[in-house]
Amino acid sequence: MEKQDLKAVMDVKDLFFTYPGAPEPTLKKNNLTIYKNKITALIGPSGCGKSTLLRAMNRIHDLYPGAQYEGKIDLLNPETDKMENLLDLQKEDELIGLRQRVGMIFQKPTPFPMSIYDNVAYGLKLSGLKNKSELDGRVEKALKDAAIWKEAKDRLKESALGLSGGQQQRLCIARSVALKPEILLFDEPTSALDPISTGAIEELITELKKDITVAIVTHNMQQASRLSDYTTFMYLGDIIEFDETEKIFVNPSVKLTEEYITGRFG
Amino acid sequence: MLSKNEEKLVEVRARTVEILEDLTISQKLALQALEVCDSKSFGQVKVPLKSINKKADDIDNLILTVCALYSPEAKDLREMIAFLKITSSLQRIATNEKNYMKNMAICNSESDEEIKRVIKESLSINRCTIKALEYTIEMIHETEDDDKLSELAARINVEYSKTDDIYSMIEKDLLQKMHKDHQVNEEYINLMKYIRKNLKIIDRLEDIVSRLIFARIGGKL
Amino acid sequence: MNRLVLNKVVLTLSTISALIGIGFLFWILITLSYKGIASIQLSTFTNDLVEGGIRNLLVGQFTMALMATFIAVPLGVLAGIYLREYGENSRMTSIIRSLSDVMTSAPSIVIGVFVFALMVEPFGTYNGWAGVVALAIMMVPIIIGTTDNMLALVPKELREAGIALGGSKKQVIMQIVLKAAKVGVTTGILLSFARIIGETAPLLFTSANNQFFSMDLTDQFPSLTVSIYNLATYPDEASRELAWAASFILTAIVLFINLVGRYVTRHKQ
Repeated sequence: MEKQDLKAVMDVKDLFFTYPGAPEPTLKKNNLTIYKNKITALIGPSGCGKSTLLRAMNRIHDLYPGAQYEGKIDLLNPETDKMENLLDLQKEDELIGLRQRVGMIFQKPTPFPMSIYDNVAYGLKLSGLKNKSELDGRVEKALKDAAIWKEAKDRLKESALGLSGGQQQRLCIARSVALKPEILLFDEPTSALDPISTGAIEELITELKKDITVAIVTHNMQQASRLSDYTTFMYLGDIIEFDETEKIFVNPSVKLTEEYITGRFG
Repeated sequence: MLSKNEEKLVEVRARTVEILEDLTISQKLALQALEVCDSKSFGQVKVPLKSINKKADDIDNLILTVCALYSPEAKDLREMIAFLKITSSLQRIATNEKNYMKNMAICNSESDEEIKRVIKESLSINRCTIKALEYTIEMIHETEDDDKLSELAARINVEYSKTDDIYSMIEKDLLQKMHKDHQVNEEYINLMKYIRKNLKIIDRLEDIVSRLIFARIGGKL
Repeated sequence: MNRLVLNKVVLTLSTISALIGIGFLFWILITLSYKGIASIQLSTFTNDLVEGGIRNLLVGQFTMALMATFIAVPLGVLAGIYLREYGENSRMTSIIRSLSDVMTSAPSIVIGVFVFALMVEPFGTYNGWAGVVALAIMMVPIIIGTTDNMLALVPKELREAGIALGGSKKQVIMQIVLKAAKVGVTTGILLSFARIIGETAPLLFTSANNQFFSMDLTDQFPSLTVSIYNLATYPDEASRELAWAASFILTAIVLFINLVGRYVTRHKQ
């Protein structure tokens, strides 16, 4: 991999995170870089903090007051080409702005109780888009980018709840992609899906990385090795190793990483 | 869209064919030079062989990465592992060729007419080897038709048998000669040794063929 | 061996109990229907109480119930939203929840007396508004409870997904969460309506009753339930027959509303 192609879009620096009411931090001095148009995977055993770290990146922890952060998460501002600490954002509209740039897809597909069209248009309307033909165009493009246009185009006005699990997840991706985010965070996006839907979503994510930077949490190591360019191995809140995926899966530097990869963990 | 494993297999096959083509070119150059015993052009024969070790190592590392990242199964796995062994065979063929050319230094403008004649006869072996190399390349490209694959393997086997026969004839010829002259000719003994060692190349091609059959059709390694 | 016998005994006892319960229910319904239907004529629906019909009573009861609904629904739903979405597990929230729960079983007569002191005494006259308020006070805790519980059933991922798209908390609650809980919340409202349409005690000393057709809520207001209470104790045959007719019709109404509730929620598991 050419080093000069790499551009950092997010830099996690000495991050500590404590859940509301928890006696100890869940994330301990995490350092991680997310590179532009690359897929970075976060792997590790249950409870290692990978989802916690991912959810810090779009400040969704703030939905539950009492969360405490220490350290920095720098996000690249594409206009000024400077890094800005997203942990500094306090006001609701600032956080809203952040989440329109850093989107998130969850493990359980979460279609809203409205039509397919309205689902995809939701984020767009929130950001102020009102012109009907523009909305139609953006919705169509988003559904195409999420590889679900063919299945959806004849039932745009029908409830999204009528779609299958895999289709619903692609709808959620379309919803997020419609906002043209810089980064998309995927939190175990295929755990709840069957193998064929999983394959379709994986193909989709690989396509998406051309325009968007992706970070994905997965408990499936083969998924990480198949999809990602960079892999982060976490254990008990620490980042144990972060490197190119090829290195991690062929010849990891840290013994703990190797034990996990080879399935020698207890 | 091709799966990752299919993509990488295509790459592995292409790179292996590259090595086989290098070996074929080298064999053809050797054939040309030996036909007229032009020892000055022997140096040229080694040129296509120079990069083979590196190329083989690159293929091995590619296969390693693929196994680590994409967990190939069934046909994909068989083929990856088969090619891992094939690259070793190819590296040894390259070594065999280099040694053969070293040994054939006895074929020069000053050498015995008889030696030159025998060498010329032995070149039929080289021609069989070249045919076998070309069939092997075809086998690697034949990914669809199992019957065609088996047919190519049979043809290579035919060439292999031919080389065996040719050598037997040369051996009988030289032994008779020595018997008639009532003396052991050191040069003749060496020549037989060199020609016999040349048979190793087509021997290894037989190994490669059986690995390819394992990969595409099944059975055991 | 012992267990099999015990099993049979318990089975028999519980079946008998169920039959007794159902028996009484059917006895009530059959008596009500028999006596009630016999007393119904066309005039029952076209005349007001002063002329031996229940037209003004039906209109009056529904009017007060609907007015109470208009007051109770916004209060109850918003309070339910506050508790579940903004309450943040504080002590205050759990106290309010417990109080609201208790209030759902508060004695209706006590509520009636309370509103009497609040809205009848100061004005010196029974009035429809007092009845409306009393009914509303009964509805609010029920609506708070169901709204709270139905919102709790909405998975947290749905809220997170809305937030992750850049929605503000208010937008996510109103546009997504409430919509997702729509059916449950509506059921709660219907249930609370069904509950109060058949109440008597809160109306006894608040809106009392009115023989004549009236839409004036500042004065005594006609009520079906209070009328049944009165009619049942009058000595004359006609009054008691009217009481049976009114009771049957009231039961039918309550049954109908409950069935509507079930129909509306038929798709929800």
